[in-house]
Amino acid sequence: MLFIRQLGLKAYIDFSGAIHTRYSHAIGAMYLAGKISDLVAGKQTKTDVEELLQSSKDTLMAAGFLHDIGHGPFSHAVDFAMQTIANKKHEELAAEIIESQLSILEKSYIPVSSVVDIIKGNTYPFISHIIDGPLDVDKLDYLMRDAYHIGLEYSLDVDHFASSYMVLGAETKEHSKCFLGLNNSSEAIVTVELFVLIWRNMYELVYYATQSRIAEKMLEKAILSSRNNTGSKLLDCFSNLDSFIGTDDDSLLKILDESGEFPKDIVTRIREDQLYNFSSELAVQLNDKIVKMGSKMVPDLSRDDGAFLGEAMTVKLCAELGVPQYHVICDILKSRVPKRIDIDEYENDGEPVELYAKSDVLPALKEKPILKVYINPNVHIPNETIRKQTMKLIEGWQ
Amino acid sequence: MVDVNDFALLLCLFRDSGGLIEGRKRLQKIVCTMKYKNKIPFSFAFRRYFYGPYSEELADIVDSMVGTGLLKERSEFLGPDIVQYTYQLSDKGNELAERTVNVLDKKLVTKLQKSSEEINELPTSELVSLSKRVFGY
Repeated sequence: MLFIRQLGLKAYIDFSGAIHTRYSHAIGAMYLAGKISDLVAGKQTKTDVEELLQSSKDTLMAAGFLHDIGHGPFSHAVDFAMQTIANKKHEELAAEIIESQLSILEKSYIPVSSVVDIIKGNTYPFISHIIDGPLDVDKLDYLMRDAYHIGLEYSLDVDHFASSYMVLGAETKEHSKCFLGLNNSSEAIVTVELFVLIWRNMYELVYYATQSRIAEKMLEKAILSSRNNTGSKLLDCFSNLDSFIGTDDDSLLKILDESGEFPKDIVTRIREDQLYNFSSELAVQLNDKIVKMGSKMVPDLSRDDGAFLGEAMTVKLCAELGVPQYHVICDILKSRVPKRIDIDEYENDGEPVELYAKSDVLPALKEKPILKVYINPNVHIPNETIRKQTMKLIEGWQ
Repeated sequence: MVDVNDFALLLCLFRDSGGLIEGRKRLQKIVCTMKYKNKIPFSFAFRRYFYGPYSEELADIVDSMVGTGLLKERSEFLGPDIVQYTYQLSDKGNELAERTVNVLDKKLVTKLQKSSEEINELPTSELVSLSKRVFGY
């Protein structure tokens, strides 16, 4: 983790000061996991929930530290390609690494199986949501840490925010049905709105910054193009756990450089800042009234962060335009919005009130998917033709 | 994983629900009741929370439908500081529904329409209890 940059290619392309590593994020997430477990346990009136949180504190901190250990080099940029090649999600890889390499945790009375259960979400939701949920320590740490290293001066009092967290449903004494929510106060609502706004802004300004996003997609395609190249060390690095652990940002680029003509060209382009081209006429707002969609668009769009649909459309568009594989890249960008957040207020039928119903800010932050097309500089097809073909592809996606 | 069949059923549900569905909660309870009581083959996975069954997959696809302009979301004040959101197919959504619903078996569409009529008559509080019962609370 010390040799994987938290912001992946963004640290090479758009934000050269942001060279912080996954390791510092892991330390931050571990610290916050301990803090939140103390804060939430401290306010529970039901002692069984309090006891459970207190007895899980060390395990939660270990899970906070290790939650991203299954991410490969360049962090999220490589997630989809890695998942496609290894046929495993990063949570599954994390579980394998922890189970096979970190039995040392047991010496500190931290059960390896409990850490894995938290990371995979196989435990009580109010515990696993501290590590992976709408208000998790991952987001709390990476948003503020990334903003700080980039130089964006957002201000969120994380301690104050975390003090509004609570376990909802504790009175039922059925731990499997309890989950993490917020207390019912205007302070908590205003603070979570600020948190969500920072989250949204970071996607618009940083995580989807155009040049580094193009480079990330190029890197993804370079890896995917090598998936059938049995001579490449790449397959070993994604399918063999020891090789995976030993692969960092620089060594992955080196492996790609030696994996054939296309990956080599991509690595050279990334290193020499000769990226694929993008122009605004090759961006399609999918919520536009005039954009007709085939019946598979929405189901494919909702299955992940858009990577699956982007890859499938890339393959089809290259074929229809008659250009070599991955010389045209379709990228789906979905504005990230929080999943359901509940507050400690209940309707007559016993249902908690969703924050969505109490906030003026959240409903305004809707998911607005955009399809962008990036073009290899060696492709000489007019943008108008590419746009037309893209629109046809969207309409016929069924 | 949500597939085209789920999406087609959802479009059909919106089309046949008298124009609009009042509330994110009501939508969750309608689909849950249809799946577990009326045996409409939705594949959305529901999770057991203390307040009742809830499907993140369903919430995600509804967000995608709003995000792509297929559903219109309107707000209505329920109390001094609580808003209810209603959902209705847009023209773009209606047009897609007409093209997509054809993939479904006609008997299934009739069954869904009938279930929809029955459920539409239930106030939300009764629907909440019914969805819990049929999900096994």
